[in-house]
Amino acid sequence: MPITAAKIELLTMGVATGGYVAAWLIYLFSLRSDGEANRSAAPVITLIAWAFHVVSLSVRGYRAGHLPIFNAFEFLSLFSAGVVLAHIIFERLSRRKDLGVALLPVALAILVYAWTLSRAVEPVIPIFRGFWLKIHILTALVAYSAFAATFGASLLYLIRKGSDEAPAAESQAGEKLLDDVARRAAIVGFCFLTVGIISGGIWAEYVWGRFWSWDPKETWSLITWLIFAAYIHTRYHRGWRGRKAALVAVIGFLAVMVTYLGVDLFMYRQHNFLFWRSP
Amino acid sequence: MAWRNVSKNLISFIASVKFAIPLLIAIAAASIIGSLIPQGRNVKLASDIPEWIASLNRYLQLNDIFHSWWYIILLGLLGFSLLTVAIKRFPRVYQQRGRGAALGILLAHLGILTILGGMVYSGFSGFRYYTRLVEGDVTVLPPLPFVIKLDEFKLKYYPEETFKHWGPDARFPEKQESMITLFHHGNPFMKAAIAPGQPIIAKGVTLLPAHKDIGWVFDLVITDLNGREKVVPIWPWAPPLISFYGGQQRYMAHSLNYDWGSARENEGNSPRATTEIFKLQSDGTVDSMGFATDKEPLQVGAFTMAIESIRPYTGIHVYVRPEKPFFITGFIALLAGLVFTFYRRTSQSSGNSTGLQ
Repeated sequence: MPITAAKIELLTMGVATGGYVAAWLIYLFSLRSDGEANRSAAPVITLIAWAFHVVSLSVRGYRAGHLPIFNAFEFLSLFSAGVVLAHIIFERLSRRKDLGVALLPVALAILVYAWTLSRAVEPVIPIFRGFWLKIHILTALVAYSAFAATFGASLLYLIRKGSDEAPAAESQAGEKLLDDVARRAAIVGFCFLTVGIISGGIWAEYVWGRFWSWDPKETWSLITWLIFAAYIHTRYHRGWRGRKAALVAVIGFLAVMVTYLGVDLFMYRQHNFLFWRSP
Repeated sequence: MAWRNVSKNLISFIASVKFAIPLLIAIAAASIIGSLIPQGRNVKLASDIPEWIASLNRYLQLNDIFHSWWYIILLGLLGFSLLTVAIKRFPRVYQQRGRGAALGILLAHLGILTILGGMVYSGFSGFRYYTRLVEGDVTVLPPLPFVIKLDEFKLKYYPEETFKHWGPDARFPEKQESMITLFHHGNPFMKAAIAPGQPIIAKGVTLLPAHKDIGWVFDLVITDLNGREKVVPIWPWAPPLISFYGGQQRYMAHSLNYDWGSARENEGNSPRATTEIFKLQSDGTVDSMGFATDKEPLQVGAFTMAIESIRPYTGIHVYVRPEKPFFITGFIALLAGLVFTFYRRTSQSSGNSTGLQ
């Protein structure tokens, strides 16, 4: 049986999915048993799985003849890879080995959802061919991935704050580190979301003749932006740290999920090209 | 003196984060409501709802939240807050954290203010029309310094199997192009090809074809037993009422599905265009009389109804956007502000006690 590019794409994506599951289980069990040796294996497995994921996306791009960002399957797969990359970066920066417990399930959930969608390769329709749409999608993707990192760190913070297993001093340092990971990721996400909204507006001007038309997708991206604007202002000007900031970050990420998935599933919107039927 | 103190305190309050945060939350909450309730002037409430809900809906303009008086007040307060923050806080930030951070915060806030200013300005200036161009016809819009003729409309779909996983009827155009000529005082001064995503600007006016609103217009030729003809143009966006015998018999015609490829190429035996004819009864009910196609006329009583002169049309946005410079300036200022603000913050706090490397 010949090995086709489509099979390589599927195989590498399958390996990536399996690798993420394995890494997450190791993170989870080593967190419970405090197994240092196991815990250090998890980042290596994550990195290898991510490399397979990148190969899968590259093959996809090669097969389609364009960046793999234009349909739901491609975007979700790339989004999942982005969340894993955010995890790898922030894990390395913070040297926290438990970030994966919260972040890998987010990446996995997105990837599993991607598996359920059609994987058919599609050409890029004319209105999707502009420069600004690529910038819009890619910056939104970076923003979403960074917000996922904020969410993971904040969730972990809230969970750790709820349990008093670790010694006080060590626990406090760990929590502060998580709080800082969340803050940094939120700033990255906020800046990229701003660029994403602006570039989306410029693209919309070319396609619909308006920068902004209060489409539910646009409105929810504004809501997400407002929530993270409030997060940043309360942190820097009102001194919100820890639990309060973490709660705002979790709400912010829920808004991200509504923006991407909720609007697609439950609200009619101009962004939905499914409504285009041959006349 | 007391008044001056009150206004000073009020401005200080509006310039504070204490005011800004609830305001951001209020705008976010209002936006959530606006995304959940169907928006638009055509949205009608159910007839059996209590009067007080209908009154509340009218007063709060819940069907058009983003243009309602209270949402505009919220945005106005945000603008005022941004202005006062920029003016009042700049000197303090400059002293405390230096030039870069102060400039960043100033630029970011003024950038958003400029965008809001552009939104307000667009409400008072410029114009925007939506119309349809029919192939071969000249379209006149009174405020324009020119008229538009659609010379040719080109449309090519991807093969049916390309997007079949989207659904049985889903088709996307591979190419959608309108060849137009613009005339000023009867003289052609510009020929151009426009497409969705590829507008042109002529004499300061932007022309952008719609990417969804495309279809066919045709003439319904009605012939009676004596051979007398009546030609009724059928535009799908405004189906006409066709009256006979002084209004005693009334009909309507709706254009239906057609195959774009075969319509343009005139290939095959399948009909290029189909229309369904309805008869309006005296009690207000509507009965379908059947279908007329360009291949086969429909016999309705003493009349024969046939389709002729099939021509494609495309929707088009025609607008002047004087607020564009506001948006571009605002966007650039906002982005520069974010870079200045957060690059400096991050580099200043990179060696903090958290141990983040």
